Amino acid sequence: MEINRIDEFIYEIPLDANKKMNVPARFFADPKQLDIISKDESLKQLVNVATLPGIIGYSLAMPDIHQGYGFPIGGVAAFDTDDGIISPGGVGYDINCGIRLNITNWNRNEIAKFLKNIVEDIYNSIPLGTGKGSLLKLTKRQFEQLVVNGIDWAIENGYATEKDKYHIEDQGQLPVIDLSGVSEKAIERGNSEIGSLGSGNHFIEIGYVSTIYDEDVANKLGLFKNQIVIWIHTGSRGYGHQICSDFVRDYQSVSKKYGIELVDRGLACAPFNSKEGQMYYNAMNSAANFAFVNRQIIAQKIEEVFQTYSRKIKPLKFELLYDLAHNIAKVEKHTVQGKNKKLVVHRKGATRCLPRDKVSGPFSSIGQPVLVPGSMGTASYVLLGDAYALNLSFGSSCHGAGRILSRSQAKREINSKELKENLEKQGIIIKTPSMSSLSEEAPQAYKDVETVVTVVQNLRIANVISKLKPLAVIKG
Amino acid sequence: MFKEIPHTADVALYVESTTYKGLFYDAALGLIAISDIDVSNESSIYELFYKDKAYDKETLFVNWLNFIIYQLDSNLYLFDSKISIHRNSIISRCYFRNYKKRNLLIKSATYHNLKIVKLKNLIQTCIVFDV
Repeated sequence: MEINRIDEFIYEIPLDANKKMNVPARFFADPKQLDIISKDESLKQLVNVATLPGIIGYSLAMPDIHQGYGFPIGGVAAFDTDDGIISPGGVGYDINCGIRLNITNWNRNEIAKFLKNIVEDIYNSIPLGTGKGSLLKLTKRQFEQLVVNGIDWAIENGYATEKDKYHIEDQGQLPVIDLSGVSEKAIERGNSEIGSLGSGNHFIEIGYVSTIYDEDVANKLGLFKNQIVIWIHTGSRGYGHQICSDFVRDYQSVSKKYGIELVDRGLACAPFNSKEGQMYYNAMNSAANFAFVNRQIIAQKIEEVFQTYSRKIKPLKFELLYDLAHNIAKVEKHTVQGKNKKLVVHRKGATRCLPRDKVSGPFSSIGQPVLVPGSMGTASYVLLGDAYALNLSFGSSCHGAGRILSRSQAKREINSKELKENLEKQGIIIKTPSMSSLSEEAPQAYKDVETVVTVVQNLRIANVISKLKPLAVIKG
Repeated sequence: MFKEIPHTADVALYVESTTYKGLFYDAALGLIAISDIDVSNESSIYELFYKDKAYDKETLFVNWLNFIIYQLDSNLYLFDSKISIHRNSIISRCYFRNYKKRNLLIKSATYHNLKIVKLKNLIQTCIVFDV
């Protein structure tokens, strides 16, 4: 496959890589990670996305690109809402799998001697791992209200504050007009998993602010050195999985009905404006709303645990810095070749990233926070949307480090027990219900997150504000 | 016969058999194997009847595996099955037991590059699971 380097960190695969491509493919990468990226099928998947109807500009990938199914992880693709498509495979099974960062007024020293107990208490308070479990019991009617109203439902029911809402992407509520595309099975699965973490790469991490690169902006975000912070990474659980499964199945024939030729059945799609397209869009949005509430409820439970230690430490302030989606398709307005266009932007393992002039509310003077968690045991970053995000990537940035080892290879090469011991030697507490799968999320299984973040910083997609390091990881 | 094949983010299986019912059954066993469950031989046996008609064989295959995943989510693993496949329809009597613990949660079977290929004496496919 021909790959042209068109800038220090921008690579392009021209139209002739596949005669069905409608646009070229572009990816952002550090030259020293090019070999890793070229090793798996991710670039072929990026090219496949470029064949979909109505795609605008480029089929794009962020520097944490790696092989997925259908679309690559780290992929971004924008489609015209008039003649473009929507694809469940472009969002993924864990709809609105996302990341949330809560901040406290406690520092590293203050928490040190209580940390082990706090971790234990959180571990025992939140359903996690491969089993079912829910923090709430809702009727079907209440569940439907939750998925339609998102964070507004959480506010009305005492699980969130009005202030939280303005620290969540799209204020924690994506539009849902009807739930006709949502199966009973999806509702049943979702209703048994509200406020649960799940497994795989889902985690809760207690960390601290290790480095501040921009003091003034960090102040505005409420960040200070050695501050205790909490990351929550999870999504829409069985509710989103079922919705995606239902639509990927139905879209196998729907794509054909609309005469859409697919180079990979994982790309099954429907015209965005069709009845089927709108059914998925509404169902997907309801799963996104579920995920926003899911993370909110988990955060509230963690706050309750922290609160029980406030007498021993000091009165607690526990606030939300930001909560955002990694797997989503959203209708957004973008300027393309000087013309305003309404696009449905698919982000699969990518983060929305807006510069300050495109953000309202508390971040209007600084830009949208972009949260980039590293792999277990490594650093994570807080960035802010920068000037070129809209020009280069439809307002998108990377979402993490990006895998390099398959799960089976990681399991073969890394011993979970030794990994846990090594991390504990570094002062990082590890807690998990499944020791055997711990090695799958080992730092060696991922790219170097610092290199990934440096690419988006150099491209002025997002600007690094702060580096955070882990103290304890609860892996689902 | 099934074997796990490398996939960066998810998990994938190569499956082959001389018959469609063998392919479906072996894929289900492969799925349970990668779910890495601790089985319990003392659990009661649950019998479920599964019936489906699909758009094509691949869809029938994905639906079948998603049925097995759904049962795994309900703490049940397939240990025996009588399967009958005719064109794009399946009828199966399935026998499940409870498991003690599952180490890998599989979200769904995917259609990524999915093609069931029938050779002279062999049917084969590769299936990617989202985890």
